[in-house]
Amino acid sequence: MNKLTPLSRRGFMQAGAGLLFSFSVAKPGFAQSETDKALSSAFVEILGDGTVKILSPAAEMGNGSLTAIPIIVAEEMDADWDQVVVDFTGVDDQAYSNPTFWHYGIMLTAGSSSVSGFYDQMRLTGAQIRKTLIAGAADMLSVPAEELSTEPGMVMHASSGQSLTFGEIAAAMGTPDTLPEVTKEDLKDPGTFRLIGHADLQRRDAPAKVHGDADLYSIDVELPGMLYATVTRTCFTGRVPLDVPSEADVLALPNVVAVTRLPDAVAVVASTYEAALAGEELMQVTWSQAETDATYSSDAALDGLASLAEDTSLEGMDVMALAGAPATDFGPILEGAARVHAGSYRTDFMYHAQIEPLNAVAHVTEGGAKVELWAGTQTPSHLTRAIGDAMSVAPGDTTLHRSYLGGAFGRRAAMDHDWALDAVRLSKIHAAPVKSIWSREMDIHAGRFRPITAHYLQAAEDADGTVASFYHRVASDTPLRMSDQYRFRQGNGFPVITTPGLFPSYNYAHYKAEIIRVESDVRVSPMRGVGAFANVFAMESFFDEVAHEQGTDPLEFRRGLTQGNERGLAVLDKIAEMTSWDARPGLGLCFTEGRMAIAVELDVDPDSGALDLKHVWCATDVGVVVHPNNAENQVVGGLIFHLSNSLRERITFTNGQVDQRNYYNYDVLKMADIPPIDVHFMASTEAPEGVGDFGTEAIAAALANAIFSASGKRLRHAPLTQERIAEALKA
Amino acid sequence: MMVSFTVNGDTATAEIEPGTPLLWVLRDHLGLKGTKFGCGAAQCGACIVHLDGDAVHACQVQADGVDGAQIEKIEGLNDKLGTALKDAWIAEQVPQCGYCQPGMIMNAATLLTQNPDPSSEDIAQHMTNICRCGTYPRVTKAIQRAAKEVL
Repeated sequence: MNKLTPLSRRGFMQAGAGLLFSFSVAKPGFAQSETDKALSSAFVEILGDGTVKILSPAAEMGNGSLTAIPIIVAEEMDADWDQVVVDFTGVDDQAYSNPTFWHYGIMLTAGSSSVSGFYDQMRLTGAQIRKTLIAGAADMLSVPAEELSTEPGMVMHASSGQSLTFGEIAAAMGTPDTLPEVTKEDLKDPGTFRLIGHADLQRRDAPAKVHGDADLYSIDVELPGMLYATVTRTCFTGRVPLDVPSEADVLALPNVVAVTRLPDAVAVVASTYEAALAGEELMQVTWSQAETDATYSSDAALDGLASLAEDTSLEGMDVMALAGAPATDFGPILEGAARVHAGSYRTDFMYHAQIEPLNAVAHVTEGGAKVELWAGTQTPSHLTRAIGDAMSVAPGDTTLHRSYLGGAFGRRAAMDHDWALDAVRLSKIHAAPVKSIWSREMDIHAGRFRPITAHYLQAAEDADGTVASFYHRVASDTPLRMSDQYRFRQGNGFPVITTPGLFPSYNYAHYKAEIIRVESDVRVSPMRGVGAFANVFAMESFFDEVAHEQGTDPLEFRRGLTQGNERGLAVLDKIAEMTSWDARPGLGLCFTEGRMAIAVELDVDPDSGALDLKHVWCATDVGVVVHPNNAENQVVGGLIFHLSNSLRERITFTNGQVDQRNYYNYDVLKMADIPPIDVHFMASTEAPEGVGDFGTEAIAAALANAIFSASGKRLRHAPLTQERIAEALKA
Repeated sequence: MMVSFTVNGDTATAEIEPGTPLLWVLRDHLGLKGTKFGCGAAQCGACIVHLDGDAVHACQVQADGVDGAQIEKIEGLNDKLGTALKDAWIAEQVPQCGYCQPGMIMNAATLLTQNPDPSSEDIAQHMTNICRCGTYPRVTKAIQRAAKEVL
């Protein structure tokens, strides 16, 4: 038996991350006058008045990292949380790249990786500041450092009763030339944490968001003399505007300044945004390749992917081999099987639907040599690089103001940043500040979608009835090609966005996952949960199909393949307890990443196919939960996001055009649709895993399994729309 | 054309084209950015403000049609109910990305004015705003917390 060690997607991404830890001494650009002498490092600045400023490299797109990352630093340095203020770091890959993405060394907030990726580094950073302050206090008090300890915001000398505040020490010592070396020995025992895991800590961004403060998001930025723009694009990549038949009509509108051609778009530039929107409504553009594009249909494309997935003579990329494990020839395993189970699954295009439409404000000066930009991005360093590549601007000549993101979900990880480049190009052309906002209709039409996928799964049953060997083939476009040419080139085409959900969650006897990569010109992108949405939907649906064919309880079947993974077994026990698991009709389960179980209970209306969602439960072991209140919000939010994806959301193409235009026909869940949701985090002192999309995408399979349990009908195409359920009930 | 109305208690005037949605007058002509643009089609609710006390989608209201009206929006919602709602929103730690929340809070204020003690079902029926981050369960809790505070 070739027993595999489970390798989670984050385990894979993080392998080797420790090699990159480095410590910057002084943060360049931190102004320090002699009168306000302070201690500063790449992530921390302590002012004389005791204020501790902690900088987070991660984007704030709702994830809460702007609070959670400072909590980690503050914990290890023993800062007084009431004296902590938070802010973003600057844009510098050397100092601030996310350790999770060690392959690339870039600043990227994606894949639930901020707290998990920065945890060790931020703890060491905090410990280093604490050690520095203790050394400074030892000098000031003329006592050995070993006799000193810290309380929040203070260094104490217990035997003499003397103490110094962090502010007093920082003011006296300033920034030393070198910071002391720290190792894991300098870190706190998690049992002594004061901040990490504290139930009452609040997000630092909440009050401003609740009060409607100005300038939180780039869409709110206003500059003197600013022009406004809308842009029109096609829904395919690399198309060029050939003609604008409506140009004269658009120009005739009041307050429209220009119709401006960009390499792959046409902009309406106006002195008001309402005028630019009116111009977009009149816009007609003749695009290159229009005739061939008009033949594209998403249904036909999906049929094509399904035939590739099911044609097992066609060899794809062996995912485990790409990750360094031996390649598996599954043919002999199937030939030796007493019985082979098989199933085919599909998923549709889906749209991020972040509520803040894509936008940026740019001010290009000195004839194009200097760029000042306000934008919300998941990857600031790629944004400045994209501007450099497109506009020949030196990296140091772009100043990026990192705005909050009004939702992102992967859309703002698209590394060419076409939406921000629009503003930069237009500002240069019109020699004025420009705010470019995509209308909702364009945000959908020229969206970048989670790609369509087709899956073919096989499982080999031994003579004794055991099923422990699985083979998963997925045919899909690879989003990185479209969204991130840099990572695509550096990764040698490794489909990092398609692979999540293909690393084994179970202890299989034999396992093979294979990707058949297809390249279309549809604009595709990572979307929350990335490949795991489709891959886990297929795999965990198939698990229930196999269990059913075996006459085995779905939970027991999963327990059987989880032997040896104690944390995973505890999670399965917990979900059994939460649901009072008895495999009653309408109850469905899934288990993913070896660490998260989701269960759904529902009723299916036998006539209409309408679902009555009764309850959602989630048990998860993500290691240390740094900021529990926000972690719960993230998991519940992730479950709702993916519940919406799983039940309602689909983008379709007919005659080469996206059929959906706005929220009235891209249907997302609202408050009345949300069932009660209970989330339980397993107690743990293990290193944290992500929580933002960690596993929550698996709810698609729990729903399909619950629908089967309630109705006896198996849905194999996500989303599981009412129409599809009704069709299955009739069949 | 010139329009004039009261916004958050202050008189405001703007020179606009006929038919301009109130949303753009508030955001761009008057510089009050707390009210958000999400869809322009009365679907998401990010632009909800109070027009003479009623919740409206500012993207659908023509500014020239509301000359002389009283408009209240998120920055000015600081009466007893408004303060209770904002405090409850923080106490329940509702926001994630935060972009939809001003419209949510404005719509919640209308609900509590009409129905001071709403059930979860009442809240779900009234609150048709979209929150893509999925903060809906906390929105419900925050509205019920604010209701208790004000009752």
